[in-house]
Amino acid sequence: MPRFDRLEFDPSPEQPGVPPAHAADPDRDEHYWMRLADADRRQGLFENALRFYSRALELDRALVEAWIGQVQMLIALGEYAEAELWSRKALELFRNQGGLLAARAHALCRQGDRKQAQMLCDAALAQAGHSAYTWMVRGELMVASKEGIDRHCFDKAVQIDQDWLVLLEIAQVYLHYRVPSKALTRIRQAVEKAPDNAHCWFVQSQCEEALGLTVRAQASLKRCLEIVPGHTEAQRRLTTLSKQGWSLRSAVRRFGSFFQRALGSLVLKKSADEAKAL
Amino acid sequence: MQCSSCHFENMPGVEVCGRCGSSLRLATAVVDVHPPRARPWVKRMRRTLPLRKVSAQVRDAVRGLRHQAADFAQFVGFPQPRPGMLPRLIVPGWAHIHSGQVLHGSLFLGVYLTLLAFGFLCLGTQLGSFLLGLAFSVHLSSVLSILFACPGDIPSRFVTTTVVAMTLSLAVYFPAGWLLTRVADPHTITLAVFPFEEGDVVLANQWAYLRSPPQPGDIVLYERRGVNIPPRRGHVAIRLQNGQDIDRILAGPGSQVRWENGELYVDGRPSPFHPLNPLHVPTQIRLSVPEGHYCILPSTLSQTIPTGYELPASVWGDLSIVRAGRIQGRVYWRHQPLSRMGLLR
Repeated sequence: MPRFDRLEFDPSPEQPGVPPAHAADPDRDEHYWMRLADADRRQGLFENALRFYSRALELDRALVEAWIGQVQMLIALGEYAEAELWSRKALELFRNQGGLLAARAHALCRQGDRKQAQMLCDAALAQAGHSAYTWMVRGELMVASKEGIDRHCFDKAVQIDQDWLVLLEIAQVYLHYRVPSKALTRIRQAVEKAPDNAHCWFVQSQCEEALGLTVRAQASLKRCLEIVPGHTEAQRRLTTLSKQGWSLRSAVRRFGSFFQRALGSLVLKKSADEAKAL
Repeated sequence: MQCSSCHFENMPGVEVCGRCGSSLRLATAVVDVHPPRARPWVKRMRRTLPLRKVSAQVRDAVRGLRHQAADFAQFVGFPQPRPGMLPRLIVPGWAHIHSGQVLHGSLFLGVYLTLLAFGFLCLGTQLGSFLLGLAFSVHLSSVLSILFACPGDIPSRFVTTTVVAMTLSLAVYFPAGWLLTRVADPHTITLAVFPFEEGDVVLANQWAYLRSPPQPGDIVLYERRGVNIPPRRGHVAIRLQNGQDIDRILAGPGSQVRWENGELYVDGRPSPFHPLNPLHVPTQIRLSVPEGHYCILPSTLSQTIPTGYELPASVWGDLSIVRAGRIQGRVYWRHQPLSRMGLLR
């Protein structure tokens, strides 16, 4: 009956965009590649994750999460201009998609264009269904503009998504903007949730190293190497920390902390004396 | 068909989502899914030269300044003209004509141009300054009539007037005046010395010798050196202070100059050029012009020397050799009085 020829039922098994290699293996569908991408992302293997997101998109171009993941990976790899371009392209396909708007805001924020990033982030929040990523980008914007209310945005992100990956990424945001003390708080929570993840330990060591806690950083790196013995970056950092001798920077930092402690104890003693006298 | 972006259930056959406008034909569309990548040297360069960051910061700063200026203008009650009016305020009456007030605009423009023309005609005189000042006032009035289109209180109008007057002066009239005096610097003659009369105004071009050096025959404005004049019988020695003089260049650097009985010889050959006032030059002068200097016989100087004194030949020699750097411009036009207006040759 020709009048029913154009009716749509289930999608046909032969999708025109699907490569034959993938079509031949029914287990390796887009969700399989997405799982691989997520696993590599959690290990800090952003290049691999980016590749897997692309593989997932080859199978299903309507997978918004994969587009967002690609942009996030490009940002994690420091390719902000490319990430911004890619998010724009994705937004042409998925207009006003909250996650993609947030991803573009993220890329723009990293490029220093905070005004436009703020507008895009507002637009992302105006969309229905907020994701943790949108609030994370909001928090990053607050950190970048030093507004001091970043904690609330990050807390909101953690509230939406309890995954330790969110905590890890928040810590990385703080590290990017050189706020290691706040990063350490978040990464400790992530390590508590995922003690078997080498990347968490590695990021924790980065925070500790930035704070001058060399011994703790070494311990974190050792733990990271216990979990993944072939972690080259951790090995390199551990060797560097072991060989690290005296430096003016560390001496100044130690002197500063000693001075602070001495001053604090002096103030405490004085206040105790005053209390006694009263 | 369900939209993958907003999950809206669309009618079968449509290509874009009815709610969010996303493409519903992604499965069949040819879309590159591999993102562009930055090369390592590009990433390094971006880290070293964060141009995008700097440009964004500059843009934000400019935008912020503009907002602050607008807020400040609103705070002090400074009126803000419509967009596009601001550049037209540079020409009096243009903004009026643009906004449909053709008569007002034509009047402002006509009066302004008339005053400007007469001001230029009387340049260098008190009347000329007065007319140019009036032209400025007309310009200011035209700007204020646009800005005061909406009602405002007196203090804000006072501030507006001051700000507009200062802006016009600094942004338009000061640069224009500076440029004008480079090519038409008016000089008023204070002592009647032939060929000038007292009160004559001549125009000098200060940029005449930017490209080419001064040539013999040019009438120039130059800075004369100060000299001591020895006393005659019954008088004391006096010093002739340095000052500006106008006279003709008679010979260039490296020339041998001879002035005999009203005739000029340069390198042994008779020269067609004469000083402006040849009667006040001694009968015989012999000079050798060094490099970087010019020969200018100060024939218009005689009236500045007190009675009973005269310049000896040695002083004439000193005064007639003028360093190139002391020549300030070429005098080319007698501007006042109008009856004798014309080129100076």
